[in-house]
Parts: sequence; C-alpha cells; structure tokens
Amino acid sequence: MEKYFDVAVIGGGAVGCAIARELCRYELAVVLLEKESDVGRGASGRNSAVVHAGFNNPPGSLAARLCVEGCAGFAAACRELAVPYRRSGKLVVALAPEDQPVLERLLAQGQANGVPELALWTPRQARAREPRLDSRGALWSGATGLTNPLLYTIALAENALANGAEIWLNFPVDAVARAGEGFILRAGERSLRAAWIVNAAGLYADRVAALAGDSAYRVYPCRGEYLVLDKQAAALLSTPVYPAPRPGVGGLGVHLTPTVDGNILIGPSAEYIDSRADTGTTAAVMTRLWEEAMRLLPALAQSRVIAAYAGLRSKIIPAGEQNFADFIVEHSRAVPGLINLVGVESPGLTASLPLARRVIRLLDEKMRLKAKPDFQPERKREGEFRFLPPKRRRAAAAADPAAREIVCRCETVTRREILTALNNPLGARALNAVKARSRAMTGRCQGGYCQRRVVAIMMEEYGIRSEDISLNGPESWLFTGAMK
Amino acid sequence: MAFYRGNEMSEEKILRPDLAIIGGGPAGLAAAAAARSAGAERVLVLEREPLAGGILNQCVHDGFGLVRFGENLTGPEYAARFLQAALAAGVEIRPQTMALELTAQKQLWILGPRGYVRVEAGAVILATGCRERTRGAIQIPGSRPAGVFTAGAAQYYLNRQNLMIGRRVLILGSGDIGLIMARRLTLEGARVLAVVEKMPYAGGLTRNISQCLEDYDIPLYLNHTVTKIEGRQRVESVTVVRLDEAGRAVSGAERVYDCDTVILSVGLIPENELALQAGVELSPVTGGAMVGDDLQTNIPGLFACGNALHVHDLVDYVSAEGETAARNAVTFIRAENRAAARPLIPVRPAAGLRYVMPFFVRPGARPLISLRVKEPLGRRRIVVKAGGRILAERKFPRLAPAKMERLTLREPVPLAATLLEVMIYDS
Amino acid sequence: MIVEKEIQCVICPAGCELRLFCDATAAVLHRLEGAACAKGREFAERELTDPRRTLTSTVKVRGGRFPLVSVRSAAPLPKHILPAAVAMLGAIWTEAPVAAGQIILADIMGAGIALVATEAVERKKNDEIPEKRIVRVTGFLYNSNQRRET
Repeated sequence: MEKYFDVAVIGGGAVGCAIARELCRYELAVVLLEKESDVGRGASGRNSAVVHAGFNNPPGSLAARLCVEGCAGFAAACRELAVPYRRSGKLVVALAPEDQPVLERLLAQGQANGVPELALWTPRQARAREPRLDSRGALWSGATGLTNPLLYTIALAENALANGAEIWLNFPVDAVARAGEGFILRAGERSLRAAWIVNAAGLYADRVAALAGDSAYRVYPCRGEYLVLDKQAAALLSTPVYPAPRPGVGGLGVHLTPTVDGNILIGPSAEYIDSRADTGTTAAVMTRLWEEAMRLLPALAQSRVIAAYAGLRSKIIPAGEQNFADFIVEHSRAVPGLINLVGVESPGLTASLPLARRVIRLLDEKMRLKAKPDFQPERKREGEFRFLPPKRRRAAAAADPAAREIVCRCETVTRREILTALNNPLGARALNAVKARSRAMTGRCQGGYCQRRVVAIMMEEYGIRSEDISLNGPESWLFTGAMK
Repeated sequence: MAFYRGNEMSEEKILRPDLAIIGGGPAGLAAAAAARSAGAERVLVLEREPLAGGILNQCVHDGFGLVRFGENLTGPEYAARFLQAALAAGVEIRPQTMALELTAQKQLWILGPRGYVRVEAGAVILATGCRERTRGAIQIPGSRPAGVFTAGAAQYYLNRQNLMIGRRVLILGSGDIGLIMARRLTLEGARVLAVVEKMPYAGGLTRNISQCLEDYDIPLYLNHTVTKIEGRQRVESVTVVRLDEAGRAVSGAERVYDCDTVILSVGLIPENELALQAGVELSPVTGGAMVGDDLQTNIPGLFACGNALHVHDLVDYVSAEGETAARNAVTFIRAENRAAARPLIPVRPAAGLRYVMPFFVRPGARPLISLRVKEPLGRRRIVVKAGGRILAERKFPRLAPAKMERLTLREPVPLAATLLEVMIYDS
Repeated sequence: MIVEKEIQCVICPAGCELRLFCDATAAVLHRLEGAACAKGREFAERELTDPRRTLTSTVKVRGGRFPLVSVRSAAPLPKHILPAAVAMLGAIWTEAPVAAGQIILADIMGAGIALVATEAVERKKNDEIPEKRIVRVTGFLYNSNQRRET
C-alpha cells in the first residue's frame, strides 16, 4: 500500500519548496517530489539572483502584485531562513536618448504597482553610486535586493522538512492515476498516494498537468545564458545594473549583477529553444554577453570569466508574440484536486512565498486548513568561516579540528563546512549539492584544487564508493572505480 | 588527503620566524634550506598538504633533476631530496597549514592543526606554485556534465587517490601535464582519442610529444580546438574543429568524438590569491609579481619565486629560483638592504618575447635573465644590452614558447644604466 | 643503401631532433645529425635496435597513509613490454610501511630489471583514522523519508 499524503507538491524549485514550507504551517501530511538529486537544480539555481522590486510587470497583474509583496517580505524571510540577503538597490540605465522615455514608463509602472523608493536619477547621481558607470540617466530602485537563490531554495526545503514535510528526491513523476478522491503518483517502480497535487514543476508544468489529465497548458523553454566573473571584478560594481529594456526582448536584457558571494554575473540572453534539457552555453551568446557587458561597464574589460551557465525560463507565450504573460495559479478546470502553477518565470523567485500563500488560499477554499501550533519558521545555520573576524576564527578553530582545515582555497571553506553540507537533512550527496551549500568548487579554480578533497571526504568519512560519487546523481558519475 | 591529528591544540597566538615561506613545494623547500645556509635562524615553511613536496608528489613520472643533479628522477624522488635537505638544515615545516591572509605589512594569518595563528616574519617568500586554467577560463561552450577534468586534477585522482576518471578520453591542450596524462591513461587502460591544440605548435616539451604521444600512436592535432562539449549528465561527445591561420573555425571541418572524458591542459597561472590581497603588483603577462632581480615584490620584504612568480618548464629552475629568493630575503632580514629602494631600472623585452624575468634590475646587479618567446623561432641570438653595452649574449639553434631560456649577465648592470633591453637577432 | 630517419631525443628536456642515417635494415647507424651531446648518439643507436623507456607507475598499498606508492623501473625497460608491465602492476599489493628505494618486484616480466618505490609511505596511524559518521548511503535512490533521525 502506498504511503498517503494530503498534498503532494511536484517540483523542488524555489516555488515548490516555498509551497511545501508554507503548507507545513497547517495540519497536513505534505510531500515534495523532485526529479533531480537535489532541490533548486532547475531555473531556481540558474538566474540573476535578484530580488525584484516589482516595476517590470504591468499594473494589476498577479506577477506585479506578488512581486511587490514578495520583495517587501524577502529580507525577513531570509533572516528567518538564515539565507544571505543584501538590499543592494538597482539601476536601470539609459545608454541612448530613446531610453529615457522607457525609464519614465518604468517609473510610472512601478509607482502604479506600489513599488517604494523609485526615482529617476541624473547621470551624475548614477555616477555617485557607481563611479565606473557611464549613463545618460537611470531609474533607481532602492527596494531591489540580492540573495543566493540556491541557498534560499534549500533553506525552504530544509525548513519544510524540519516541520514535518517529506522530500523525495530523484522522483520524476511519470504517471498520475486517479484513486478515489485522490491520486496515485508514480516514478518508475515507486509510488505514493495524495489527496491533492500542487503542480509547481516549472518548465515541466504543462507535462505534469497533462499526466494528471489536464492538457490546458503549453510551456516554451527560453534559454538565458550567463557568465560568472572572478571576484577580482567585484570592486568594480556594487549595484545591479540593467539596460533600459528594449521591446521584443524576452527578458530584462543583459545586465550585471554583483552577487552576495562577491562575483559579478553577466546575463541573461533570451533565446527560445526546442529542448527542455538544453542548458548548454553557446559561443555566439558568450561573445554577445561580453560585448553587452562592456557597453554597460567598460571597466570590466580586464576581468576574468570563471564559469558560464544557462537556465531555461518557462514561458507560456511562444516566440515572437507579446512580451508579457501573467503567472497562472489556479485550480485545474479539468481535474479536481489539482492546482497548477504555470508560466512562473521571473519574478518567481521574489514572489515564491506570496505564490505559496496563494496556493494555500486555493486549498483553503476547498478544505478548511487547520493551523499547526508547533510550526517553527526559523532555520539555524552556522556562520561561514570566511565571514568570521579573526577572534572568532581562532575560537572556531580551537573548538573543532575540522575547522582547522581549509578544503576550498578560493572560497575559504573549511572541512567542517563540507561535512555540514554533506550531512544536509535532504540527504543530497552529489558534488553539486555540496557546491550549492558550501560554495566549495565555485571559485576561480572551479574545483581544480578542492574537488578531490571533497571526494576524499565523501569516500573516507561517508563510505561512499568511488563509483557512486557523482556531480548530480547516478548518471553523472565521476569515476569508473579504482584505477588498480 | 587529510588526517586528523587528534585534538592537540597548544595556545599559540603569534609566530615570529625570521623567514616565512608560503608553500612547501620545490621552490619553497629549496628556499628554506638556502635561507638556513645563508644564516636565517628560524625558517618556517607553511604547507597545505599533509606531505611537503607540492605538485611533484603527484608527478610519478621521471624527467626531473637532469639539470640540477645530472640524474633522471621522478617527482617524489626530486621532492624528497629537497625535503630532506630542508629538514636537515633545521627548517620547521608545518603541514596541513594554509596561509589565509597576507597584508601589505606582510602580516600573515595561517590555519592548521595548531589553530588560527598570526605570523609576523622578518621576510616572507611566496612559493605558492601555480594553478590550472579551467574550462570557465577558456569558455568552452556546451553543457556542464561530469567528466571534464583539468590535467592536474586527473593526475591527482589517478596517481594519489587510485581513481580512474573515464574510458574514452579527449585531451584539449598540449601542455606537459596533458601529454603525461595521455600516456598514463593509455597505460592504465583508457583510450585516448586525440590531443587537440589550438596553436600551430605544441604547448609541451618535444620529448613529451615523442615519448607520451608518438610512442602510443595518440594523434596530436595542431590548429584544432574544442567548440562544444555535450552530454546531460556525463560527457557524451565533443566537437573538434580545425582553425584557419587567423584562429577562426573552418566550417565543415568539424569532427565529433564519442567520449566520456575531456581533459584540459590549457595552461598554468601563478597562484596569487595572497599576493592580490597584499596588494602586490602583478604582471598581466606572467600572472605573477613584478619583481626585481632580487625577486622582491613592490612590498618590501615580500619575495616571490618558482611557479608563483612565472610558470617554469623545468622544476630544476624552480628550485634555483627559490634559492635566489631565499638569499635575497636573508639579506633583507639582515637590514643591509632595507633602506635600498627597489631596483629601478626597467627591463624591456623585444617584441618577439612573451616576457623577461625579472622586470627590474638594480644597478650593479648581475642577475639571471629568464625568458620565453611568443612563437617558435629558428636560429636566433639573444642579447641583453644596457645603453650600447652588451651584458649577455647567447645563440640558440631554435626557440620555442614551451621552453624557458636563461642567460646570465657576464658583467654587472652599469651604474648609469636606465634601461635593460633584451633583443632577438637573426644569427 | 642509406635510410634516413628522424626521431626526437627524449633523454633530456632539450629534446634534440635527431636525423639518423642508417643501413637498409635500419639497424646500423652510419651518421647522426642534430644531437647536442654524446647522449644523443647513445640514444639513437639504442632506438634503432632496442628502444627502451623507464617505467613509472603506482602500486597499491595496504595499511598505508596513502592508497598508492609511486614506483619506477630501476633501469629503462624494452619499450614494447611497458603496456603489459603496467597491466601486471595492477595485481600487485604492497604492505605499508614502504621505504623510498625499496624493491617492490625483483624482476619485471623477466627483463632482469627491478621495480622500486620512489617514495615512502608510512603506516596509517590510529589517530589518523578519520572519525566515521553514521550515514547510510544506498546509491542515490531515495524512496523513503529523507529525514535523518537525530
């Protein structure tokens, strides 16, 4: 007999994890189903890491409302979840005379959406904030912030877990059958029963809905590529800088984001593609990203690229059509018991908790939810060694032998932090899971020095066989086994 | 590989050695022993691995020490000689200890089995070696599957951790470690499909082309590069394309290799995390410090040597450079040199030279000049001049970028010199 | 008839390009060009009749601080036996401690040449055995509750 849950959330992205976590506030048996070996492996970990203020979406749209709401509560959520957050503000810059009206339109749109702290800045004001920036003026948004979207997603999942939810990784739902009032969900040989399904499958939301019998949606993957710059470049920029958006661009345009971790991101491009799996980068786009970044900040010329990646937006409008389609959050018209979230692209990260609350309202309409008195919204996390002042570093090292060894040189990550990452409550034990949690392997050597040390820890201390060590799960093996 | 050594922690807050050497590889160990023989009392070597010796410990192949010892040693054998010499000379080596911060006043913070400790040394030598250029640095497009390794990382997995990294391998870049790995992987049962080099000449030494590739019938494709890596989870294929004379991909000249592993041997960069923190002026060409003939950086009392200064071809020269840095550091500690401004005479390389080490010379000095050419050249004469005066001259039957050439000045830099020129002439 | 042959000298990093002029069987060297030193001639002659290379590899160690010890052949081996020799090494175990220079194998495949360790490997000390953690890893298939019992 399959295990029973009141709600099965499909998709372990920021939105799915936020839904699972918020559902834990109520007396419900909740399971989160994720097809990959860890949460946050899709678009949630492949974006600009920006907490948007909400001036990019049309007034009255769900996206605009939830974005403004999400932005207002993001700092508090990050405090609660022990996730890095910085209220960086943001500049949308005019580079040509025709950009000025665009800024004015964005300002008006933002004001209509209720976005606080918006102002049109003169070139001089913009330069006072970012001395290396050469613009014809800018829209300043004081409420925009930055986070680490992967850690945010992981934190939501861990908090859901701590509050009683289950998280099933490596569970790609491949069949959904009706069973009485509810459903049986299958992934290969494994299955479970759930009364409700919340479809937060992002790029695969249309397919998951179709598995359950609702063929109302179609998702179009739209790829965005990024370049990651070495930390040396961080001194050049402290505020995210966007170009004034041009019509017909399926995104916000190539922008520069100084991350909470000290790198600068360049991107994303916007390119509709056929495959939902192709997160590959391309030579042409890499070149173009670099050119566009140079246009925004010529001072970047001397900086070095350390990595490139791509993410896929889940668009619900095909290429060549209008630029905006609103988030869809609704009860399925075809399948009772199914709630669909479709077309949740940017600003989905910012809006993740408001989206979750909206799902809860939809559920509450159908069954009265009962609050769980012992819900614990806070997540504890040890501070990173690299951010400790000398005195506390000394104390940390004195107290713990595993804090006396640096495993990752570029990002100053201790053995203790690797152990903590490996010991994560989700049980994600691939190298990328360690990378997301500890920042080991993300620096300028990209794991050249530390990957083997992480591998050694996995083998020595966790008894993981060499054949089972992987980047993302079993198919992404690192070793065929012992050499001799 | 790391080991706990119990919970031993002594109260240690500050160390005050005469000389602190960061890195216990071939440069650092040679520097340490040389510093002791030059009269430094307390010499401290900080080594992040459990065993000193640096990258040599994973270089189980031979070919080391021919210049220095007239013997053909393996990496571990070469390292052991210097380790023993350093220990015999009374050097303190701290393994599993990493230097985390270095200030412009050359204060150091280190972390190791004895905790987080401050080090205030009379002088500091950076002997931190180099690191490998990565896929990100050369921006190979495509997906990001498992199975892409830098050559050095692959070498470590095989030679130290007994882990086999794949079955069908393509190697991008013809640097020496990549060539050595082509042979090693072949002998260990993998199939090395090809070595692909974007330049019209090999990046590694010709002997390694011969004994690592030709001996095993591994093809080397010059003027070729990888334009795409594919595979969702593990590498599945790699697209290789021929390049024209301008370095552009020739359309229609693509070839797709089915393979599960890509090894990158696309260059080494001096490891200069600490130098950057301290505000050391770095050369955009070498990636290392802009030093004078005494190997001192712009920060007084902070020296650099070995691959942390510029990437060498032979370890024998790395050790020699470490010794030079040590002798100058000891002179500095003795305060004989403290008042002297940094050497002021710039060294100007001719157009065909990639770089010349050092970047500056002091009047009256008789430094060793190291250099590399930009591209392969036939018979040439290299001349070091100050004003009209020839200070050194040497003929070379041929010059290759993979090879570092060296000249010693036959007379000191004239006191009145304002520029040292290093010229190349057809001979 | 004189046959011309070009090879690389691999004796030292100079990597001289040697031009060999030999007899028709390519066994007798008549004339050599391109060698910068006397070792080049020695190498060229041997390369014609009995090409040899030093074998360097690793051998597994039991109870050592490291899983492998690096090894070399005491003298160059006939080139053609290298692949078989390396394959054969895969079956060998040695016991820690291993001393640098220790003979691991007296005779590599009947060539009359020993295999020697090129580094020392200490025995693993007890206090160096890392603390084992209680973690059950069963591949990567998680089909039950992932919560760790604390």
